[in-house]
Amino acid sequence: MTYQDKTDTTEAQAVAAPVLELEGITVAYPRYGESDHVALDAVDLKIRRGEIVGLVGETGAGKTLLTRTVMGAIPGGGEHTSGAMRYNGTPFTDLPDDKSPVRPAKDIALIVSNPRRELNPVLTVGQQIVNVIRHHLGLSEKEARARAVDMLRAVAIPDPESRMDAWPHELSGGMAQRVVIAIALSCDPGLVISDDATSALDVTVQLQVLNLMKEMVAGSETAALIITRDIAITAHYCDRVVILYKGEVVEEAPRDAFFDRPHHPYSINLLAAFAHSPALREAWWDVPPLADGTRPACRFADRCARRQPRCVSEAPALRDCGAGRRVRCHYPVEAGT
Amino acid sequence: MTLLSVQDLVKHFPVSGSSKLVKALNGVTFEIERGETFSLVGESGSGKTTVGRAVVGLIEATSGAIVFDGKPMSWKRNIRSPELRGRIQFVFQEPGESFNPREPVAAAMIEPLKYLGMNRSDRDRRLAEVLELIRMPMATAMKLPDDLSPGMLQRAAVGRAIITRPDLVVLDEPTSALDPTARAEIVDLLISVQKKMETAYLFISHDLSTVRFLTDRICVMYLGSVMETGPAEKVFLDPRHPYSVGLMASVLLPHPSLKTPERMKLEGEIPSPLDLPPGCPLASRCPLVEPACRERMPLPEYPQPKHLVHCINHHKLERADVVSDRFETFHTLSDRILRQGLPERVA
Amino acid sequence: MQILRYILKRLLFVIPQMLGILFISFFLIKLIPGDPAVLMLGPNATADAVAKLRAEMGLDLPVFQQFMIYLGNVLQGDLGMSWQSARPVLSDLMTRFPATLELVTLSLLLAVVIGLGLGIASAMRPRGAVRKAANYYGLLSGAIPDFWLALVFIFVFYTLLGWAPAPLGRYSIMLIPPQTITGSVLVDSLITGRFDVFMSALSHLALPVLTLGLVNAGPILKATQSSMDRALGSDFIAYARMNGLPRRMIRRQALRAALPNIITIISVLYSFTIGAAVLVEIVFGWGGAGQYAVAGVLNSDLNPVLGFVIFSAVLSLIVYLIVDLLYFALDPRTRG
Ligand SMILES: Nc1ncnc2c1ncn2[C@@H]1O[C@H](COP(=O)(O)OP(=O)(O)O)[C@@H](O)[C@H]1O
Ligand code: SF4
Ligand code: SF4
Ligand SMILES: [Mg+2]
Repeated sequence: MTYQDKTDTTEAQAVAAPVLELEGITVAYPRYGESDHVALDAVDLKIRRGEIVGLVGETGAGKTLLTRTVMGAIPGGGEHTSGAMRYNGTPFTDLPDDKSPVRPAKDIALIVSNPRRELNPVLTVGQQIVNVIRHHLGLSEKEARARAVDMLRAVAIPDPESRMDAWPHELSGGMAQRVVIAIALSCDPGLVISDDATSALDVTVQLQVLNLMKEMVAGSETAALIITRDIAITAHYCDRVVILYKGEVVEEAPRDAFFDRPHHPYSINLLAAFAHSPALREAWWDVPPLADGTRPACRFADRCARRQPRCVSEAPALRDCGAGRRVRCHYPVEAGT
Repeated sequence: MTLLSVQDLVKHFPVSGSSKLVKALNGVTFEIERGETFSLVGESGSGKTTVGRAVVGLIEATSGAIVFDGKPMSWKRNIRSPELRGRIQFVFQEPGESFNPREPVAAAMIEPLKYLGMNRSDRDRRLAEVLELIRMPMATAMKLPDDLSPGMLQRAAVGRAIITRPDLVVLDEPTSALDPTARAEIVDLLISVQKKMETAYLFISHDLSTVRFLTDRICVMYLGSVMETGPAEKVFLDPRHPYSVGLMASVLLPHPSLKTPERMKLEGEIPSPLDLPPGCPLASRCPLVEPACRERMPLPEYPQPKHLVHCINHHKLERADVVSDRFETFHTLSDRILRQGLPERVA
Repeated sequence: MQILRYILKRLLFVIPQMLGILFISFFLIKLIPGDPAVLMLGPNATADAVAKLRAEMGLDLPVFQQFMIYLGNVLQGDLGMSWQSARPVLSDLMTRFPATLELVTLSLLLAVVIGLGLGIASAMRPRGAVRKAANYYGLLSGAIPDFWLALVFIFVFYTLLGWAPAPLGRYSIMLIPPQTITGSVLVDSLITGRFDVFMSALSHLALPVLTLGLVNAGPILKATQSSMDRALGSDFIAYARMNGLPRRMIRRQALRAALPNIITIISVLYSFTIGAAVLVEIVFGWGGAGQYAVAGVLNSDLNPVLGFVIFSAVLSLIVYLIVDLLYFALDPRTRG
């Protein structure tokens, strides 16, 4: 079964270095008098040119932290303790640094989730886009303004010329979201990362914004990483799905294969949230508690309906299971089980 | 038997420093039966919350009536008057909102009972019952709000609302701030509570996939007016208002095969409710709009019994051939996926 | 349009505010023990003479009535006489208030340069050496009394090194005073072409301005640092960084966001220092308004004190009005 609505990546693209390659990214928060809180644990991720990857996890899984790590802006004293990041093969560590070989907005751009808080309240929409365009593309004020208006038009903002002078607080949520998309795509980046960018929007506007993002990415060969807590989005807008649980990748698979047969018990739990048979849902969600004080080796064990004694003592590794799939589980749901 | 009847409810808010009015509600009418779940859906800004707030007496309507249990509500007969105290309760969107950060959640949960003048031991007994019902251990209820996850807090908020055994609970977007998993848990909880207590719900939400399987009847609102009201299966299977169709078509379901239909895509955004033009509120976004739509508000019509719609073109949307909606299809699909690898102890 | 209406509203509020301030000051001063009549007539006066003077001065009337009489006079522009200087308080203050204003304004300018500069630099590099130095400076400036610092400066720069002139007034007593136009010696001497007075005034200002500037830079530094820290930690600055905007643009945006707080602190300091500069004024024999008011308090000379209260209240109200207008100009959300 395939629901492919994107052309297959060509051979040449597959051979070239991935647009983004994360290898063993680990981020820890030091804790007073305790061992560090490892918020991201050896996260691997590859995104190829023109590919849209969906990263799904619940609140606190580390989705925003992963974004912030890539963007070189880890919040609240967290430390990037190990791992490598490469953009088109070029290693980078600190994106915002003026001397970094890979630059934010120009190479890797971010679409934020709360634009009315993340746009500067005392600068007009136009000024904020122009700032980014001028700095990265070295255009004159006039050229940059013209490009900014084009970008606003491209994201379907009505009457873009007059919107240039609007203040952020005058925009609706959907309009503000379009503005940050315009900023993100204004310098033709090789990769855009969208962190929960549509979760605050109405379904109608969410759909418009997602379609817009997809069109703009497809038209420019830009790759995209769509980060979300809503797995339904990935079913329609992504080529590949990666599931993050408590800072670890627990499953990765091409989209169609994933939705036909998710392997990891947590992935099934996520889907069960949308299912409408309370009995089936309960079967997956109602798990007998672990014995008091147990610290299971598998991070998901306390919520896992397929848990066995081995899961408590031995941590599962992220293992390759062919056809571009990986799963971190001793007892995954595979064919025939 | 009708429990709550909202009749031609109008609410206009003045705009400070201007003579304009925010026309939040422009004549909303519906009825809720005892023990049923009635859902209000629509984009943000369509007036759902205003209806809920008027019902629980947080705001005063500009005109129109709210009749609860046969008698109209008024400034004398509101949800705080002795006769009605504890019979209408509410749950808000932000789980933290109903809790004092320095008090265990259990303390907040029994608070409504104090206003009923219930004594200490009865209160404790009632609390134990409710905790059992919402499946929350006493130890959890004794924690401070900050120590609970948003899902758990919302569970406690539901407990607090039902502790007085109300006839009606108004739930304003109770699941919107939650992750999908926590959301589904709250929905399951609401269903099981209703089975046991026969409480009626006024469920306000913009999340249609939640509404689909929770609700008996649904009311689609837009810009302060009712677009369509009817039994949930009918409205979901055969929606007759372009807005309902567009809204339902925007819902993403978690399977690649369940694409969003191209029918009645809603372009643009909900306009500001300041100085609305006459006629059908949807006219500025409707793919079927024609000059007649802008002349006057379309009259109510009943394409099927109990299925009301305000659209002059509703017959164009009729689809006799359809036997199941996308939500239903997903239901079947998800059942199949969930059966795979079901743990032995259950299977 | 909206702004005009706002200003009018503000000005309307000024009237009750002024009345309240005057009323409270009047009664507080009345609470200070000491009878001006006794002090004026000296220790050997007879009880009769004292009573007669009291009656002449209206001191035998009920306090509230005294207040009403005073208020009536103030409304006609009469602030009464000072019995110490035997001159109308209004004309005393017209020469003394500008002296204080000149001193305080220049001091705060210096404080702003130091505080803002260090504050911004230390916020931009939270682990740098400037941050450490700035933190020590903040602590120190809070702990050192201004008059003590003034005495140290006089000892070092006048007594030991002889670089500064004697701490006696606003310019050398050997010079003929310039014509008074604005009340500021610097400005007046420039206008009238008296460069000798100008240079002398500059050298006399150096130490008191340095003292008050260094002491007041502390709170400005702290306010700048903390509000810059907050701005730099805000979502929109993080977003600007993640868009790769250069450092100086980030700094400018953060400063812009921190500005309302900084302006508030500066305005509060300004109003406060008008009175609080008194010890420094005394040390340098400045002859300013604060000094004048304190002498009034010590000698039960009521009118100079109330006159000073009125002058500083008006000044504060002007300062706060300007601050409000600045807020208005700085924040697009307050504009219609
Ligand atoms: N400022 C911070 N201080 C301490 N821990 C943090 C901070 N920000 C994130 N974390 C930790 O990082 C993890 C992931 O958080 P986050 O990336 O916000 O999750 P998500 O975006 O998936 O909701 C959590 O365990 C959280 O405790
Ligand atoms: S390893 Fe065991 S506990 Fe962990 S997810 Fe797999 S089956 Fe569940
Ligand atoms: S009445 Fe006209 S504008 Fe309104 S929904 Fe029907 S077709 Fe559209
Ligand atoms: Mg997040």
